[in-house]
Amino acid sequence: MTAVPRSSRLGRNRLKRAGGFVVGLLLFYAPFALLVRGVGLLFPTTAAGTSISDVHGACLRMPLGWLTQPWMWPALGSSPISWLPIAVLPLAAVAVGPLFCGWLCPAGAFSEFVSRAVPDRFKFDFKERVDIVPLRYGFFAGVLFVPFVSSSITCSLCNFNQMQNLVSGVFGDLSGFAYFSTLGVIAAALWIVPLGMFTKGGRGWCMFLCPAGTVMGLASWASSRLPWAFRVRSDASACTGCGTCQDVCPMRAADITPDAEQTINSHLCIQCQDCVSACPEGALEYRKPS
Amino acid sequence: MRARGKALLWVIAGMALVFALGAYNKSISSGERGSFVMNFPATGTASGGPSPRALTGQVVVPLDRRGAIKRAVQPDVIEVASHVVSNVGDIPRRIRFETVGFPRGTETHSRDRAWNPETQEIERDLAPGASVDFGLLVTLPNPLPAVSVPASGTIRIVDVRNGKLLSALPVRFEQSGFPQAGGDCCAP
Repeated sequence: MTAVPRSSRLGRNRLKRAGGFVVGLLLFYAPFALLVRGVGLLFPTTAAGTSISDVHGACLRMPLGWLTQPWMWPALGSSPISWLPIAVLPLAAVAVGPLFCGWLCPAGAFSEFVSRAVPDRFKFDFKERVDIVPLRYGFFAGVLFVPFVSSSITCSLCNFNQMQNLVSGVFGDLSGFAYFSTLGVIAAALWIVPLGMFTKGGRGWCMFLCPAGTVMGLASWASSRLPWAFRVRSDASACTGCGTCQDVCPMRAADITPDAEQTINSHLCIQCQDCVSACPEGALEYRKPS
Repeated sequence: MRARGKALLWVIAGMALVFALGAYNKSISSGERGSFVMNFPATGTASGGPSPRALTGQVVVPLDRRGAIKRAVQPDVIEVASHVVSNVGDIPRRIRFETVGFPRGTETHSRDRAWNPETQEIERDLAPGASVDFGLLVTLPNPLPAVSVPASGTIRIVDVRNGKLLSALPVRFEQSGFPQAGGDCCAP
C-alpha cells in the first residue's frame, strides 16, 4: 500500500470542508435557508414561520447579547431558533468541539479561503504579537455588556449579514447593497481585508469578533477532558516538532512548545482537522481522550 | 501570576475596544438609521416614536451625526426601520403601509412573508398584540438644501378592508446651523 502524500491529504480535507460549507450555505443562507424553513414549518406562528428565511432567521449573535438583558428574555422563550447559539451549538461543541466553525460556517470559510490568495509573507500572524484567547474573551465580555454603557454592536458588526448580502448578490438580489452604514462598511472591510486576506489563517474575525465562536470555544475547552468528548488530540511520542500543524492551522491554535511538544489550544481549535491531515508523522487524531 | 495579570490586561483591552466601538456606534447610528416603533390604531404621541419607552409621536434623524464613511460613500440614503409595528387594538387588522411627502421617494421593505412589495400590504391578519417589521430607504436631496429640515415625510398605516387611516408617524431629517425653511436666521 502506498502512503498518501500529506499535501494531498490536506487538499482532500479542505475539499471535504468546502463541501461542508456548501451545506452550511444551504442550511443558513437565503435563497435556501433550509434550517429556518424547517423550524418555520414546525413552529408556524414564530418569527421563523412568519419572516423571510435568510441568515437573520437563525441569528447566532443577538440571542447571546440578550443573555445579559432580562427585558429580552421573553424573545428567547418565544423563538425556538434562538436556542441555537445559546444551547444547541455549545452542547454540540461539548461533544464534538466547534465543528460548526470548522466545517459549516460559510462566513468563516469565506475569509479563510480568500486569504489563501495572498502569500503568507504579507500576512499578520496574531499569535506572534497578541495573546489571542484573553483578547477574544475580552471582546466577548464587551459585546455582552456594551448595551449597558452605550450601544449594542451585535448587528452593526455582523459578518453573517455581509455574507448574506454577498450570497444574495450572487443569486441576483442586490438589495443588500442598497444601503451602507459606517459600521457596516467597517465590518465588511475588517472581515475580508485585515482580518481575512492579511491574517495568517484568514480567520481573524473568528478569533476575535464572533460571539458564537467564542461561546463554542469556551464550551469546547471546558469539556475537552470528558471521556466521550471528541477533539483533535496529539500523541506526544509521535510528534517530531516539525511545526507543520502550526503552519496549516487557520485559527493559530496549534503550537509547538520550546520542548518541541505539540499542543492544541482548545479555546481556539475549530476541529477543522487540517493539522490532522497535514501531520507527516500521524501524531494528531480526532478522537476521544485515550 | 504575571501571566494572569497579562491575560487580564488583554481581556480589558478587548472590552475597551468594544466599548469604544459601541460609543462610536451610539454617536453615529441615529444619524444613519432612524429606528422607530409604531402602533396601530393610534393617534398623536401614541402612534410611535424612537423606542417603546419614548413615544414622541415622531421620528427625528439628526443628519449631523452621520459617520465619516457614510458621508463619503452614501450620504443621501438613510434607512428608517422598525422591528415592532404593533396592533394595539382589540380586533385583527390587515394593513397597508403608505409613505407620503418624502421629496425624492422611498423604497419600502419588510421581512414578513406576507409582505407584498407591489401593494405594500401585509397580506395576513395581524391579531391584537401581533407585530411586523417595516422599513424604508429614504433618498435625500443631494446636496442637501441649506435649511434645518431638508426632508420630511410621514409613514401611514391604512386598514386594507375599509381604507381608514389607523396611524401616522411623521419622520423629520434635521441638520443644525441652518434656518427653518423660508425663515430668516438673523430675525430677532
